[in-house]
Amino acid sequence: MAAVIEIENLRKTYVSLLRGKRVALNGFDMQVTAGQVHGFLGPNGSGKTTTLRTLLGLARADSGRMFLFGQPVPQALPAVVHRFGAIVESPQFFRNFTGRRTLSLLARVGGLPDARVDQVLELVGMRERGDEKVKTYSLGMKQRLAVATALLKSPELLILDEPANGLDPAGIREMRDLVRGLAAAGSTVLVSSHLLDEIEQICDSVTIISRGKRVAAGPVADVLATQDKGEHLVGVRDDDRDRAAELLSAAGLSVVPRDGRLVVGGVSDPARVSEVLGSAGVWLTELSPLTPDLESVFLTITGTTPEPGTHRPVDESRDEPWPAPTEAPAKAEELSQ
Amino acid sequence: MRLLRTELSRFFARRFLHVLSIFILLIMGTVLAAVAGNSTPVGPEQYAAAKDAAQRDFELNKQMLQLEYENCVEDVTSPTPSGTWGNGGIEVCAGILEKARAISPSDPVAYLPDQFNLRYELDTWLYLAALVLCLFAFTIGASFVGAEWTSGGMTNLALWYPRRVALLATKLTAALLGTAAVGAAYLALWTGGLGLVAQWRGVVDGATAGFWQSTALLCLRVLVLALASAAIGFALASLGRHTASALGIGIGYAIVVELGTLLVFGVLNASFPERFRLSTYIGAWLTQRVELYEYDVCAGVGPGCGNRFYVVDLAASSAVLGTVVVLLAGAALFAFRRRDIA
Repeated sequence: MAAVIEIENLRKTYVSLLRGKRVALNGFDMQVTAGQVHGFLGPNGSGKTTTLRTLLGLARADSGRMFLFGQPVPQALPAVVHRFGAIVESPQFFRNFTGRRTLSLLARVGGLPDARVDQVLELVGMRERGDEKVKTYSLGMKQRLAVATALLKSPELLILDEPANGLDPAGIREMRDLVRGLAAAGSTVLVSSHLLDEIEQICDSVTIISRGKRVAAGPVADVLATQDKGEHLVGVRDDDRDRAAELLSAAGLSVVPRDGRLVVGGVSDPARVSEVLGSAGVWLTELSPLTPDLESVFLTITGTTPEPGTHRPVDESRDEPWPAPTEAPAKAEELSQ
Repeated sequence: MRLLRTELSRFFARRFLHVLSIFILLIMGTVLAAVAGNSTPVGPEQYAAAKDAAQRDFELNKQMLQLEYENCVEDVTSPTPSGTWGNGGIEVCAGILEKARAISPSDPVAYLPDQFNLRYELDTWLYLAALVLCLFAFTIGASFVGAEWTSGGMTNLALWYPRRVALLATKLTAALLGTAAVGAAYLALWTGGLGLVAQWRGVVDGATAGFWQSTALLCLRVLVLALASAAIGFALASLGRHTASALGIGIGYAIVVELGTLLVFGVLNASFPERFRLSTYIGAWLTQRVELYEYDVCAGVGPGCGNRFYVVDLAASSAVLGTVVVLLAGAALFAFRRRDIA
């Protein structure tokens, strides 16, 4: 499948007279192939929104290469702008314009018929409220309006930065269905979100960013597999627990007691656990694989697992601790807009 | 072209424009009402009464002078003159008689109530209209782009129209076209309103074709000045990314430069400090010529002394104002091309 988004060795530094230099992206890479729903994950301040803003021409990169539909951006943005729709950060609108007028003005810029405005209002569940002023909208409704602006062009590529922000549970589910529907219709969707269970449910692949660098990427199953240690949860009768631990340790497996059960690691075949315990007359009451979910993988990879009694600072980029980019392509070049 | 049409539509749909338009219409209405209120219509009866009053005053003055003459003659010819009339003798009294014979009735116009004279007063009121319109244009130009920055609209637009320079230039064009439309209507209403007031309660004598041609040219210069104000407001708000930044710079300029130059150059004893103020060139643009004076530079002693003049004409004012507009608009476009959005 062709890559719809390609980012190579992207670097972006913010310079402020008061706060000095802050590196937001430090050789970031990403690839999104056509027809996928791709999740874009990272802690606060890791560079997600900066990546999207830079990709969409809203911010200038220091260096690196970016492509949309195979065309170099930002230079070729005017040529591909009609093929993608995007919302970046918390979208805001003129408070005294109605939702419909907001969409109509954008549709006119894009040369789209007014009928398309009604279609997208229907798509995001805003048909009844389209003629009300934006200042009367809740956060969730503004978010729906933002998604509507992104959908106006019937885009081949949809880029959504925190699309579920402010949505109620029903709205989150509708958003999930919408994304799935778009993907089923052949669109490519890039979703940045902190709702990891949502990402796990709807995404084919993910990219995880931390401190401006890609730390994991690939199909969701592959990313989860990187943290799969072959652990199983083993339950036996209380009287047998210590003996079971001894037997499994003697069989070369790692054993850690947890909540009245045993977490057994290094298990390549669950039948081996059953065999070791059964042959000694210890019978299993529970044997289940401990498959990592996206949340645990994310927390592990990004090093943001909460620790009791500590307050983790926001993952801000800094000058000093950055390692030099290890995968910098030789062809990386200065971008100019 | 689609973007320009959209931006024009956005310009005229903005509530801020509607509110400010109502505000300047209220100012205009107040001015017209005040002018009409201070102008009293004059008919044949009022004129006849004024003529009678002038005649009465004339007769009274003549009688008083005659009485004064008689008193003078009586005093100076008496054996013991009082000295009230000086030592000139009878000749002093002859002077009084001469004065009494020379006076004539005053112009009855002086006895008429105040009247609005279109020919002589329209310019003054159009200068006030220019001030109101320029402040309006500056604020509208600034808010048209400033609101986009603060509302996130600029991000939306850039996502739809990634040609940055063309995007901002189109917005500026829309702001100028919109301001031109509002300004032209405003000036037409202002001029027409004063014309009606003059016809209703004032004087329209002397409003010849030449007068109207001159008025039309003045209105055109006011409109161009309003467009320059809109462009400056737009550029400052775009550079500062906020409407308030343009308003702040505008107020700061008025205080620091307009007042500061007079104080600083006054202390330094520099020549013609007014030539460093934009208001001088704005005045010259409206009146076509401003003459700055320095009276009696060295008390009239020695070569090069006496009154000195510095003339700012239309060419000089258009060069200065044009340069300011081009520099600020260019800086805004250049910055918009380079800087991150949002």
